[in-house]
Amino acid sequence: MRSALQRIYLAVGATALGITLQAGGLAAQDQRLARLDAATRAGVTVVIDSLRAGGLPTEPLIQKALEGASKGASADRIVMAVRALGRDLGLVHALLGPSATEAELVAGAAAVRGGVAGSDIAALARLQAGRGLLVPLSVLAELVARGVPVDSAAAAVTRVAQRGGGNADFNTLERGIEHDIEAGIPAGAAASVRAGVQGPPIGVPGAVNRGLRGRPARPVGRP
Amino acid sequence: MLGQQVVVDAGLIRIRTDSISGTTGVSLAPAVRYVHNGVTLAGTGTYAGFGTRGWSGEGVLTGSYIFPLGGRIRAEVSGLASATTSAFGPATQALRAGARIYRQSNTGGSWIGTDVERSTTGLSSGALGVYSVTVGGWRQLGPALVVLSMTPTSATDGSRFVDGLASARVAFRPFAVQLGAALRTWMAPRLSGTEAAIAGNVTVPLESGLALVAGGGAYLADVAQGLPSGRFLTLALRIGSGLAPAPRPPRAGLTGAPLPRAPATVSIGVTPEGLRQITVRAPDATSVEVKGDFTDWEAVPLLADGHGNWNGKFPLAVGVHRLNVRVDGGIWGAPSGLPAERDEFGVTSGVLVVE
Repeated sequence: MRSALQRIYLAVGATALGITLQAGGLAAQDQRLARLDAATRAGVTVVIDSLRAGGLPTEPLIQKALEGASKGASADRIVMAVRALGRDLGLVHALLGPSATEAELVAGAAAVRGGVAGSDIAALARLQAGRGLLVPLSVLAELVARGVPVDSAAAAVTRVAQRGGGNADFNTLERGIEHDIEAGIPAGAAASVRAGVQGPPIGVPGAVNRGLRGRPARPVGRP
Repeated sequence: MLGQQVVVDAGLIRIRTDSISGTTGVSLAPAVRYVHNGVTLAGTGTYAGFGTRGWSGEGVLTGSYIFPLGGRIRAEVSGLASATTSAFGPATQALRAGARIYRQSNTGGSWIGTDVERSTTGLSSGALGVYSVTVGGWRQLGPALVVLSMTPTSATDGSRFVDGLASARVAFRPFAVQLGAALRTWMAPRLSGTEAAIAGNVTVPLESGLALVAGGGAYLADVAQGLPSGRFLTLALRIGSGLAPAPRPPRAGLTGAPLPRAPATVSIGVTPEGLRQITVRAPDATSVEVKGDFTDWEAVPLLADGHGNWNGKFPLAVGVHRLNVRVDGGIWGAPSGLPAERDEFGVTSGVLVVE
């Protein structure tokens, strides 16, 4: 079985091959890209066609390019953003496999952009096998966007998946954290508490009784 | 919670007790910790060598199982075995069993529990029994986890005292700081009197699997094992897996000044036709526009309903979308009610998840 890293390399290789084969520019046929100037369109087209050659969806890339144009970004910045999104989509595609939907890839790429590790996404995919990844990935991306620390967000969503939770459970988790954050609870604490990840501070009472770690071995002798 | 941690602290130590004048040596402290499905198993060892003046070592094994009782109530049963050996005096051993009930709230919790400990000091006085009841609580205050507890304790040799303990763990990335303070009030045989100790340490991640740990302070005597109080300073290199990761670079949009927001609140609903209706609440506005990946990033004016709401219907698919809102021809921004992030183009966007 190929490792995730090997699949990523294959995806990147396919992308490079696509650049060579598809330089003619199928994406140039998309009339919406006429809103880009010629230099931007040329750069974006190469990326889009290469992803198409790799079997990846291209609509998210077109939207990213249009977003950049809408916001008045420079050609370099737009092309960089499209490339970065293509890279993230390729990573998530390699992690989730060819059955992943466009929406799942977009949600996964949003999570990756927020700092979620590929290993967390792969773990979530294993837990959700046969149950769909769109909702948990979307919730994960939204939690990170809300400022929940990446580790806490990933742990919270993973915890729900481990419990065998359905889409309603993921949405309940997200709403609960949103409510807590609006109530002033720190985002990380909200995620931990809502997912039951934090729980009681296991070992804290004992740790306090025994002294803080970093304390030396206790020399003996009656006090 | 699932995880494992294997670390070794290696460094320098300076220590002083009632019976040992200040002395400096080297220390080695391995620790392993495994957490899975409510079970925590941990082992720590500490060796300190002071050259020709002697050495001391300690090993501690702990186990704990925590499980839900219903609602926010959890129970924990735990056990501990420890032993010390030293060139300075006889070896000691201790066994402890405990049980606690925790109640968890949104930002912390509280507990009540009891511990029974049996120890031997290697002296002819035989085993000592120690019994305690503890009540305490913890609360997450910003970056700090604060823990307070009170533990009345009695021993079979007639000793009775109450320990008040306070500790805080604070993450000031990249630093992690832990502080603790203890106040012991003797009831018998001293009848009155208090002792206090405070200690702390700071951990500085250097890179993945490597950290610098500095600690110092004082600790109270261990009545059960007959170990003296003392003061210490340590400086160690922590090597291992499962350490706190090195700090990530700040993510745009999540630090610093608040992101600019459009003066409007957005909500989303479903129309009878199966479309998604985006509603922007902006009672004082004369025009409201929206653009996003569902409009090809072209501005689309929303329609006023006469009650301060501005509506638009869009074929939004389930998933993650990005959008901006503009009120009265002002700046495009993320509306209130949605998470916002600074995007690759240096502009704030709202993140909309459609369920």
